[in-house]
Amino acid sequence: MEQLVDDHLYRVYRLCCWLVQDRLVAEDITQEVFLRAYQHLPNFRGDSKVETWLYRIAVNECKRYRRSWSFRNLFYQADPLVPGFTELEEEVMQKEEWRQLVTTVSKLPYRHRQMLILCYFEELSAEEIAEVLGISTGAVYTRLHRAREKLKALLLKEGEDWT
Amino acid sequence: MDIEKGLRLLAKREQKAFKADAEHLKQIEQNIFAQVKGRKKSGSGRIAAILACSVLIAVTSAGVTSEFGQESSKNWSQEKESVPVSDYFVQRQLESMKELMWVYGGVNIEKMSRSPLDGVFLDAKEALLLEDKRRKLHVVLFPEGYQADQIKIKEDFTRSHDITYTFENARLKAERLPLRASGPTYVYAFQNILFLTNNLEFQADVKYAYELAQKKAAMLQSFSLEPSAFIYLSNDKQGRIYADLGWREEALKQIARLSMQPVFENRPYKGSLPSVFLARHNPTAIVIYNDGKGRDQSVRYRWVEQTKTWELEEKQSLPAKDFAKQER
Repeated sequence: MEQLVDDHLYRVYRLCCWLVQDRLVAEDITQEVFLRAYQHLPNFRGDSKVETWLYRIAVNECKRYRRSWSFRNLFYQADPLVPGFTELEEEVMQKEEWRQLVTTVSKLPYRHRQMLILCYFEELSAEEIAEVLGISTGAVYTRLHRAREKLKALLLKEGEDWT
Repeated sequence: MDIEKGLRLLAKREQKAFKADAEHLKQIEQNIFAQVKGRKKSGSGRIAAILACSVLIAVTSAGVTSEFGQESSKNWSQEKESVPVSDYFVQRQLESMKELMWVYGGVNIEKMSRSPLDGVFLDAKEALLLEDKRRKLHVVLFPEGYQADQIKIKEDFTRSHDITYTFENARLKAERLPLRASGPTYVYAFQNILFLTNNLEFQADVKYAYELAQKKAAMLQSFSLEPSAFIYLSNDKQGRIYADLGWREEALKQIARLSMQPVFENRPYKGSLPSVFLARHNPTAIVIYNDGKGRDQSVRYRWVEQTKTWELEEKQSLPAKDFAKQER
């Protein structure tokens, strides 16, 4: 169990932070993820990678939290912080464009944002995402396409023309 | 602007920006362990109840299961009962141990429970009792790198009906010693695992399984193949374990026949009997044998689902290592 926590705590916590956009809540969810993993370890047959298995628990816990009464009634969602710039980014992207992209991604519907986080932020393969979400690889490609299209549409609404 | 490029840049930025300080992570880790400990305490009763239920079910259904006893010994899926181990890596090690014993030694572990030796060795990670149809085997798992073969058993037969034993070269919990036995205890060690049983035949089976597994692994390694990517096709046990990996009986029978070809081609045959290895993640089989003419041969086949036949993919040959002596 110690090994499991040592190896995966950082990435599970990071994923939860990205998914729920609240570090305190992410902390609670991360603890829950490892407690659930501990409970179910004897039944884990190793059909998938441990990391994928933990991600699956994390995604489900985040979903559960978002459906909870406390999330819908008590918590507010803070405006996302727009990250600063590096020189390299400035070369390829105008400041306003960058700000728009960051804000729009964070305001995407959860199902789309989840896909982009798993694919781009976590850099999981389509097969891994399929395992995490319990869907087919084909469905992953479809959902990713829809997420990108939605993002484009929202950016276009803001007057930014993305291809 | 390209959205794909934008998202990749954003991801890189987010990855860099995410800073979880070590102190904070340590705190989360401690909270997790504190809660795990809490659950362990309340869970121990639950585990005992589960074990008790298993025993009760076994007793009450004995009349029914005996009818299917012969079938159940072949049924790999029956071994998939949950094991009360605390560590994921121990769990994985146990799974591969069961597979190894079944494939190489024909030992079908049907039941696992805590061993009475649990807590005796201070350095041990886990001590479990494995049972096949009629025999019992204690397995003590030590951390990686531990040399279990250094541990020696010291038995005292001076008083009949009161045979005791203890161990040398290991850190032991004094309060648990000496241990009692009804007869001699046979010991075998492999790397960081210690096996103990009162059945000499069982000890021999386990020893044989481990030694054969090492020899077969060496065969694969000599052709630069990773042993863990393959499973040895045992001649007489084409059971559920291969089916679980997606292999059909038809394919197994065909490759078993194909593998014997060199034996009949090169009469009088002086080499080793061919060994068949099935890939775990793709429809490939490797046949390795000594051709009796000073060379080791490796033949790679691929299963073609459309034609339901094995197709030869590749042949390799190396100066011989003596595989013939390695067979039973």
